[in-house]
Amino acid sequence: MKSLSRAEFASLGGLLLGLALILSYLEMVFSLSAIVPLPGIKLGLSNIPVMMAFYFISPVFAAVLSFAKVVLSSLLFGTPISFLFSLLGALFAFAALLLHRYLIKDKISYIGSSVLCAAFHLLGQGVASVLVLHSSSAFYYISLLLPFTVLTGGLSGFIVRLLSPVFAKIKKS
Amino acid sequence: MKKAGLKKGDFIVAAGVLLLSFLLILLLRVLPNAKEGKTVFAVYGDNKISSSLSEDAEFEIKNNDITLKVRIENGQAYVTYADCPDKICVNTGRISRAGERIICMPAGVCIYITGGEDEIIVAG
Repeated sequence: MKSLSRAEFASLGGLLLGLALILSYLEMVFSLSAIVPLPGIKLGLSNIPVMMAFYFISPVFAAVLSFAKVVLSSLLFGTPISFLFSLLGALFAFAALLLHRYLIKDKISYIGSSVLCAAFHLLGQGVASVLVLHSSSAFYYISLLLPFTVLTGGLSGFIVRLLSPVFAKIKKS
Repeated sequence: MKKAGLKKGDFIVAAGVLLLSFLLILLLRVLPNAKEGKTVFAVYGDNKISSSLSEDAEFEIKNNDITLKVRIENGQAYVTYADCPDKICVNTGRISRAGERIICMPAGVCIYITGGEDEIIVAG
Protein backbone atom coordinates (compact mmCIF):
# COMPACT_ATOMS: atom_id res chain seq x y z
CA MET A 1 0.00 0.00 0.00
CA LYS A 2 1.48 3.24 -1.04
CA SER A 3 1.88 5.76 1.69
CA LEU A 4 0.20 9.06 1.19
CA SER A 5 1.89 12.21 2.29
CA ARG A 6 0.34 13.91 5.25
CA ALA A 7 -1.18 16.58 3.10
CA GLU A 8 -2.69 14.05 0.75
CA PHE A 9 -3.98 12.13 3.71
CA ALA A 10 -5.65 15.17 5.16
CA SER A 11 -7.23 16.31 1.94
CA LEU A 12 -8.44 12.85 1.00
CA GLY A 13 -9.94 12.45 4.43
CA GLY A 14 -11.65 15.80 4.22
CA LEU A 15 -12.96 15.03 0.78
CA LEU A 16 -14.39 11.69 1.77
CA LEU A 17 -15.88 13.11 4.94
CA GLY A 18 -17.55 15.91 3.04
CA LEU A 19 -18.87 13.39 0.56
CA ALA A 20 -20.23 11.22 3.33
CA LEU A 21 -21.97 14.18 4.94
CA ILE A 22 -23.56 15.31 1.70
CA LEU A 23 -24.77 11.81 0.98
CA SER A 24 -26.09 11.60 4.52
CA TYR A 25 -28.06 14.76 3.99
CA LEU A 26 -29.30 13.61 0.60
CA GLU A 27 -30.62 10.43 2.15
CA MET A 28 -32.72 12.52 4.45
CA VAL A 29 -34.02 14.79 1.76
CA PHE A 30 -34.72 12.11 -0.78
CA SER A 31 -36.49 9.77 1.56
CA LEU A 32 -37.38 6.39 0.19
CA SER A 33 -40.65 6.59 2.06
CA ALA A 34 -42.29 7.90 -1.07
CA ILE A 35 -41.72 4.64 -2.88
CA VAL A 36 -41.64 2.20 -0.04
CA PRO A 37 -44.06 3.16 2.72
CA LEU A 38 -41.73 2.32 5.54
CA PRO A 39 -40.37 5.25 7.54
CA GLY A 40 -36.74 4.83 8.36
CA ILE A 41 -35.73 3.18 5.15
CA LYS A 42 -32.57 4.71 3.79
CA LEU A 43 -30.51 4.29 0.67
CA GLY A 44 -27.34 3.81 2.67
CA LEU A 45 -25.29 5.86 0.24
CA SER A 46 -23.32 7.52 3.02
CA ASN A 47 -21.60 4.22 3.65
CA ILE A 48 -19.91 4.36 0.24
CA PRO A 49 -17.07 6.72 1.24
CA VAL A 50 -16.48 4.63 4.33
CA MET A 51 -16.24 1.47 2.29
CA MET A 52 -13.91 3.09 -0.24
CA ALA A 53 -11.69 4.21 2.61
CA PHE A 54 -11.77 0.77 4.18
CA TYR A 55 -10.72 -1.05 1.06
CA PHE A 56 -8.41 1.42 -0.55
CA ILE A 57 -6.82 3.36 2.26
CA SER A 58 -6.93 1.58 5.57
CA PRO A 59 -9.45 0.17 8.03
CA VAL A 60 -8.29 2.60 10.69
CA PHE A 61 -8.83 5.50 8.34
CA ALA A 62 -12.30 4.21 7.58
CA ALA A 63 -13.09 3.82 11.27
CA VAL A 64 -12.14 7.42 11.97
CA LEU A 65 -14.07 8.55 8.92
CA SER A 66 -17.14 6.65 10.01
CA PHE A 67 -17.01 8.10 13.49
CA ALA A 68 -16.50 11.61 12.21
CA LYS A 69 -19.43 11.16 9.86
CA VAL A 70 -21.68 10.02 12.69
CA VAL A 71 -20.70 12.88 14.96
CA LEU A 72 -20.92 15.60 12.36
CA SER A 73 -24.11 14.46 10.69
CA SER A 74 -25.81 14.14 14.06
CA LEU A 75 -24.65 17.61 15.02
CA LEU A 76 -25.71 19.09 11.73
CA PHE A 77 -28.93 17.32 10.94
CA GLY A 78 -29.72 15.08 13.86
CA THR A 79 -30.77 14.82 17.45
CA PRO A 80 -29.06 13.26 20.44
CA ILE A 81 -31.19 10.18 20.03
CA SER A 82 -30.38 9.87 16.36
CA PHE A 83 -26.73 10.10 17.36
CA LEU A 84 -27.05 6.90 19.35
CA PHE A 85 -28.82 5.19 16.48
CA SER A 86 -26.24 6.36 13.99
CA LEU A 87 -23.38 5.40 16.24
CA LEU A 88 -24.55 1.88 16.87
CA GLY A 89 -25.54 1.43 13.26
CA ALA A 90 -22.13 2.58 12.07
CA LEU A 91 -20.39 0.43 14.65
CA PHE A 92 -22.20 -2.67 13.53
CA ALA A 93 -21.66 -1.81 9.87
CA PHE A 94 -17.95 -1.44 10.52
CA ALA A 95 -17.98 -4.83 12.21
CA ALA A 96 -19.42 -6.20 8.99
CA LEU A 97 -16.51 -4.71 7.08
CA LEU A 98 -14.07 -6.28 9.51
CA LEU A 99 -15.90 -9.55 9.13
CA HIS A 100 -15.37 -9.38 5.42
CA ARG A 101 -11.73 -8.51 5.64
CA TYR A 102 -10.65 -10.97 8.24
CA LEU A 103 -13.11 -13.81 8.05
CA ILE A 104 -14.90 -14.12 4.74
CA LYS A 105 -12.22 -12.51 2.59
CA ASP A 106 -12.48 -13.46 -1.04
CA LYS A 107 -15.76 -15.25 -1.10
CA ILE A 108 -17.90 -12.17 -1.51
CA SER A 109 -17.48 -9.07 -3.60
CA TYR A 110 -18.12 -5.47 -2.60
CA ILE A 111 -21.80 -6.06 -3.18
CA GLY A 112 -22.05 -8.84 -0.63
CA SER A 113 -19.99 -6.81 1.79
CA SER A 114 -22.28 -3.84 1.31
CA VAL A 115 -25.35 -5.98 1.91
CA LEU A 116 -23.76 -7.15 5.13
CA CYS A 117 -23.00 -3.56 6.09
CA ALA A 118 -26.59 -2.56 5.47
CA ALA A 119 -27.98 -5.51 7.41
CA PHE A 120 -25.61 -5.03 10.31
CA HIS A 121 -26.33 -1.31 10.33
CA LEU A 122 -30.02 -2.06 10.71
CA LEU A 123 -29.36 -4.53 13.51
CA GLY A 124 -27.25 -1.93 15.26
CA GLN A 125 -30.15 0.48 15.08
CA GLY A 126 -32.38 -2.26 16.45
CA VAL A 127 -30.10 -2.57 19.45
CA ALA A 128 -30.19 1.19 19.85
CA SER A 129 -33.97 1.19 19.80
CA VAL A 130 -34.10 -1.48 22.48
CA LEU A 131 -31.79 0.61 24.64
CA VAL A 132 -33.85 3.73 24.12
CA LEU A 133 -37.32 2.26 24.39
CA HIS A 134 -36.58 -0.50 26.87
CA SER A 135 -38.73 -2.73 24.79
CA SER A 136 -38.09 -5.30 22.13
CA SER A 137 -41.02 -4.24 20.00
CA ALA A 138 -38.79 -2.48 17.52
CA PHE A 139 -37.58 -5.83 16.32
CA TYR A 140 -40.88 -6.41 14.59
CA TYR A 141 -40.10 -3.40 12.50
CA ILE A 142 -36.50 -4.41 12.00
CA SER A 143 -37.62 -7.71 10.56
CA LEU A 144 -39.72 -5.80 8.05
CA LEU A 145 -36.85 -3.59 6.97
CA LEU A 146 -34.26 -6.34 6.86
CA PRO A 147 -35.15 -7.68 3.41
CA PHE A 148 -34.71 -4.23 1.97
CA THR A 149 -31.14 -4.11 3.17
CA VAL A 150 -30.36 -6.60 0.44
CA LEU A 151 -31.52 -4.07 -2.14
CA THR A 152 -30.01 -0.95 -0.62
CA GLY A 153 -26.78 -2.75 0.27
CA GLY A 154 -26.65 -4.13 -3.24
CA LEU A 155 -27.00 -0.65 -4.67
CA SER A 156 -24.22 0.82 -2.54
CA GLY A 157 -21.99 -2.15 -3.24
CA PHE A 158 -22.61 -1.76 -6.93
CA ILE A 159 -21.55 1.88 -6.76
CA VAL A 160 -18.43 0.90 -4.86
CA ARG A 161 -17.67 -1.60 -7.57
CA LEU A 162 -18.07 1.10 -10.22
CA LEU A 163 -15.76 3.44 -8.34
CA SER A 164 -13.13 0.90 -7.41
CA PRO A 165 -11.02 1.25 -10.57
CA VAL A 166 -10.63 4.94 -9.80
CA PHE A 167 -9.43 4.32 -6.29
CA ALA A 168 -7.20 1.47 -7.33
CA LYS A 169 -5.30 4.03 -9.37
CA ILE A 170 -4.76 6.15 -6.28
CA LYS A 171 -3.20 3.19 -4.60
CA LYS A 172 -0.82 2.59 -7.46
CA SER A 173 0.19 6.08 -8.42
CA MET B 1 -28.65 -6.71 -14.45
CA LYS B 2 -25.34 -7.01 -12.72
CA LYS B 3 -22.16 -7.65 -14.58
CA ALA B 4 -19.95 -10.62 -13.80
CA GLY B 5 -18.07 -9.97 -10.62
CA LEU B 6 -20.81 -11.15 -8.35
CA LYS B 7 -19.35 -14.03 -6.46
CA LYS B 8 -21.17 -17.01 -5.14
CA GLY B 9 -20.76 -15.69 -1.64
CA ASP B 10 -22.80 -12.62 -2.52
CA PHE B 11 -25.85 -14.72 -3.20
CA ILE B 12 -25.30 -16.62 0.01
CA VAL B 13 -25.15 -13.35 1.90
CA ALA B 14 -28.33 -12.07 0.29
CA ALA B 15 -30.12 -15.34 0.90
CA GLY B 16 -28.86 -15.38 4.46
CA VAL B 17 -30.17 -11.92 5.20
CA LEU B 18 -33.56 -12.73 3.70
CA LEU B 19 -33.70 -15.96 5.64
CA LEU B 20 -32.78 -14.16 8.83
CA SER B 21 -35.56 -11.63 8.40
CA PHE B 22 -38.04 -14.41 7.70
CA LEU B 23 -36.95 -16.28 10.80
CA LEU B 24 -37.08 -13.12 12.85
CA ILE B 25 -40.66 -12.47 11.83
CA LEU B 26 -41.65 -16.03 12.63
CA LEU B 27 -39.85 -15.96 15.93
CA LEU B 28 -41.45 -12.76 17.05
CA ARG B 29 -44.91 -13.97 16.13
CA VAL B 30 -44.57 -17.24 17.94
CA LEU B 31 -42.88 -16.19 21.14
CA PRO B 32 -45.26 -15.99 24.08
CA ASN B 33 -45.72 -12.52 25.37
CA ALA B 34 -46.14 -11.51 28.97
CA LYS B 35 -49.63 -10.89 30.12
CA GLU B 36 -48.77 -9.31 33.43
CA GLY B 37 -49.76 -5.75 33.84
CA LYS B 38 -51.89 -5.65 30.76
CA THR B 39 -55.47 -4.57 30.84
CA VAL B 40 -58.22 -5.25 28.37
CA PHE B 41 -60.57 -2.35 27.87
CA ALA B 42 -63.88 -2.46 26.11
CA VAL B 43 -65.41 0.84 25.15
CA TYR B 44 -68.92 1.18 23.88
CA GLY B 45 -71.25 4.12 24.04
CA ASP B 46 -70.51 5.86 27.31
CA ASN B 47 -69.28 2.68 28.94
CA LYS B 48 -65.76 1.59 29.53
CA ILE B 49 -65.12 -1.71 31.18
CA SER B 50 -61.79 -3.30 31.90
CA SER B 51 -60.35 -6.56 32.92
CA SER B 52 -56.91 -7.90 33.52
CA LEU B 53 -55.43 -9.87 30.64
CA SER B 54 -53.88 -12.38 32.98
CA GLU B 55 -57.16 -13.55 34.45
CA ASP B 56 -59.46 -15.70 32.39
CA ALA B 57 -62.85 -14.11 32.10
CA GLU B 58 -65.85 -13.96 29.91
CA PHE B 59 -68.30 -11.17 29.48
CA GLU B 60 -71.09 -10.02 27.32
CA ILE B 61 -71.46 -6.60 25.77
CA LYS B 62 -74.66 -5.28 24.35
CA ASN B 63 -74.72 -2.05 22.40
CA ASN B 64 -76.80 -0.79 19.48
CA ASP B 65 -78.93 -3.92 19.72
CA ILE B 66 -75.93 -6.12 18.98
CA THR B 67 -74.54 -8.60 21.44
CA LEU B 68 -70.88 -9.52 21.65
CA LYS B 69 -69.43 -12.27 23.75
CA VAL B 70 -65.86 -11.56 24.70
CA ARG B 71 -63.53 -14.06 26.29
CA ILE B 72 -60.17 -13.59 27.93
CA GLU B 73 -58.20 -16.77 28.01
CA ASN B 74 -54.48 -17.57 28.20
CA GLY B 75 -53.49 -13.95 27.98
CA GLN B 76 -55.53 -13.39 24.82
CA ALA B 77 -58.77 -11.59 24.26
CA TYR B 78 -61.19 -12.39 21.52
CA VAL B 79 -64.81 -12.21 20.48
CA THR B 80 -66.47 -15.59 20.57
CA TYR B 81 -69.83 -14.55 19.32
CA ALA B 82 -71.42 -11.51 17.78
CA ASP B 83 -74.68 -10.99 16.01
CA CYS B 84 -73.50 -8.14 13.89
CA PRO B 85 -73.95 -8.56 10.13
CA ASP B 86 -70.30 -8.68 9.06
CA LYS B 87 -68.61 -10.55 11.93
CA ILE B 88 -65.33 -8.72 11.40
CA CYS B 89 -64.88 -8.61 15.14
CA VAL B 90 -65.11 -12.37 15.39
CA ASN B 91 -62.77 -12.85 12.47
CA THR B 92 -60.21 -10.48 13.93
CA GLY B 93 -59.19 -13.29 16.17
CA ARG B 94 -57.16 -13.00 19.32
CA ILE B 95 -55.36 -9.95 20.53
CA SER B 96 -52.69 -10.08 23.18
CA ARG B 97 -50.38 -7.13 22.76
CA ALA B 98 -50.69 -3.55 23.79
CA GLY B 99 -52.09 -1.49 20.96
CA GLU B 100 -53.93 -4.33 19.29
CA ARG B 101 -57.65 -3.86 19.05
CA ILE B 102 -60.85 -5.53 17.99
CA ILE B 103 -63.53 -3.27 16.64
CA CYS B 104 -67.16 -3.94 15.88
CA MET B 105 -68.49 -1.02 13.89
CA PRO B 106 -72.19 -1.91 13.81
CA ALA B 107 -72.17 -2.38 17.57
CA GLY B 108 -69.91 0.57 18.23
CA VAL B 109 -67.60 -1.50 20.38
CA CYS B 110 -63.85 -1.20 20.63
CA ILE B 111 -61.78 -3.67 22.61
CA TYR B 112 -58.15 -2.86 23.19
CA ILE B 113 -55.19 -3.67 25.38
CA THR B 114 -52.89 -1.34 27.21
CA GLY B 115 -50.02 -1.71 29.58
CA GLY B 116 -47.43 -4.42 29.88
CA GLU B 117 -43.76 -4.32 29.04
CA ASP B 118 -44.16 -4.14 25.31
CA GLU B 119 -46.16 -0.96 25.33
CA ILE B 120 -44.27 2.01 24.05
CA ILE B 121 -45.22 5.31 25.53
CA VAL B 122 -43.97 8.24 23.55
CA ALA B 123 -43.89 11.44 25.50
CA GLY B 124 -42.50 14.92 25.11
